[in-house]
Amino acid sequence: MTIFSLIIINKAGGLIYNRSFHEGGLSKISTNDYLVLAGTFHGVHAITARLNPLPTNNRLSSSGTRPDPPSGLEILESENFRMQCFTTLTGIKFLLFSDTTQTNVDTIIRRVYEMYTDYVMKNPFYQLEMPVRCDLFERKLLSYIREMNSR
Amino acid sequence: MDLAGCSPHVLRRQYLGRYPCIGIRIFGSINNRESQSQSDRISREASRRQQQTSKPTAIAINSKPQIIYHDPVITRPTFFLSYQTLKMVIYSFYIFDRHTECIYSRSWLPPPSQQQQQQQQQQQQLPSSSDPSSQSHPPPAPTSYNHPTAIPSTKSSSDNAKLIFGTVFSLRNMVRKLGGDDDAFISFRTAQYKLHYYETASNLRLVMLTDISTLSMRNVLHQIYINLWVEYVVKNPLSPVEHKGGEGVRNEMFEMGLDQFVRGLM
Amino acid sequence: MSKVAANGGGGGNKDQIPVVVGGSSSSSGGGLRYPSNGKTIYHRPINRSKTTELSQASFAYLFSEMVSYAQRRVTGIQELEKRLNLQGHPIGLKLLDLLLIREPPRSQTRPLNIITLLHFLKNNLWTHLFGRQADKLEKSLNSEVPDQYMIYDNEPLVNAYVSVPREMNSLNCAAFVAGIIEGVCDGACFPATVTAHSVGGKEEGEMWPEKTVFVIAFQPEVLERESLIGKG
Repeated sequence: MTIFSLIIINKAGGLIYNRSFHEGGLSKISTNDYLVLAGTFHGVHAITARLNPLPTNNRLSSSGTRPDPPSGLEILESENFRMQCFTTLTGIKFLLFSDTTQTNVDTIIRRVYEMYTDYVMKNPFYQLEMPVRCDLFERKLLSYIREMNSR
Repeated sequence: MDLAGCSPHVLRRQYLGRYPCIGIRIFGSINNRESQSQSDRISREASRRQQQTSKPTAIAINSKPQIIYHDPVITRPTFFLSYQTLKMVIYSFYIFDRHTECIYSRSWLPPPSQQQQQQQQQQQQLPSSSDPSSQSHPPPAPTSYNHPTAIPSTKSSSDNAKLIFGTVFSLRNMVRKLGGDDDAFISFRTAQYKLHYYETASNLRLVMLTDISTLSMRNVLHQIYINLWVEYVVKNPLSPVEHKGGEGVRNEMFEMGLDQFVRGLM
Repeated sequence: MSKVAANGGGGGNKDQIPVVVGGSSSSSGGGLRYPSNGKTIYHRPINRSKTTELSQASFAYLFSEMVSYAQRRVTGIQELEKRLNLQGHPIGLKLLDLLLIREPPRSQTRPLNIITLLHFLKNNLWTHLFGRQADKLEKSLNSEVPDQYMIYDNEPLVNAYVSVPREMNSLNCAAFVAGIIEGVCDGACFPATVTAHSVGGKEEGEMWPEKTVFVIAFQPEVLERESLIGKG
């Protein structure tokens, strides 16, 4: 069980954070490639939300609650890794790459989101939608993931 | 009757209650479609159907008719195992050739429920509210449920195929970039559906959309490739090498085999 | 999070304060009315729930906005720290009064020498603001500036979520707390300049990466007076 890396994409599809935790998990690609990848994924995510084959009923259901809007891609599996995408209500995407046997990704990604709200959003020097450069976030994230990976 | 939320076997039972002689209709339709073909082929297909499909068996259990054949498979324990443990729902299936063209697509979605039909009819009556993305074609008659509703070649379905191809193509490239050249994209899921992907050495791409609880369908797609595509399309002397516009894919054997295979899973 | 926002609470919303006057509600006397048990509204925080806690998140957002506000149209880091300091100063002035009135009557005197003042800061002020005492109190060993005093805080609450960007690495947002300390010192007639400095190591595995020292440099007249008191 290893967590390979984390990517955060802002609501416009721009890469705002990118950190690798494990050598040799994923191939190394340049920062520019990561930017392209973030943009591509942002688009694909929007398409996957529209591909829902089931008929969607936009009206209120009998219980009076509005059904959830179709979600985009949540989990991607390949032979070498597994990627989970968590979209916040404000449209920020957290992409967590791990090996295929990783469990508890939901909890981990939630915790990462919590750290983001704490150490990025409460930081007076962080500008919204801009790349995340916060020492505290970095430090807490690294120690948390290290703890997870050493289990 | 709201069918959208039903699990597959419940759904089946509801239909069976209303149309107990559904099995007959299948054969009737086969006879219609292959009016020129030899009768021995029909009987061969019928016996194969007896052994493979789960649906006639379910009919035999539920409506206890004598109108349908006696199924020897019913006593086979593995059949019950697969029927009860694997409650998978398959929504649709696509094949893309190496020129990125969608050469085959098929949907097993149940027809819209009556409530939705009414809604759609209302929408159709309102001239302004015609949404091109919604299924605007008239809902098929309930009797055609047992036939696969081959995706109508409307604009929206071909657009859908293009979107699906764009998605799997991007994701496949992304996976290759991150996971190395030996990596292969297997599947992704959203909160509503799951998409399975299989790519052959000849760059043929098979895509299947199922419900989210379905486990990996890689083997299934592989089986479809080996047992159906290779057998009925590649080995078919009448089939062209390039399947432009789906030419040579929509043959009787392949379509029927695919339908039986998928229904056997569901 | 302890009671940062509860300071100066005496003048707060009257609706939340129970009437403490025994019996008569007539406006005969005017001025401050004392309850029978001698406890006025200044003796306890407004928030009287069991855990007198406030949301750290709301404070963090408020502080974040305070820093952003101070950052507008400033030319340098020193000016920014000065502004933060000024924001804290009035709080310190008021807190001195509030904290003293909450002391038991016997010790209800303002600090009269530097050591008492420093202990008042380390214990009373810190406990009131942050729910714990400051971590260390030190006198400068540097012979050039012999009369500087240092209060150490291993993890200042105001800096809990603040990551200072690299190009401003000399900035410490605890300048706000330094302003509060300065206010207390000024109010107690110990005019001083208080500054906040980060001393935590930035290396990996550092125990207190946010460790901050508040350097208190008293005015010469304070030191002069102190030496006179010592002689007397």
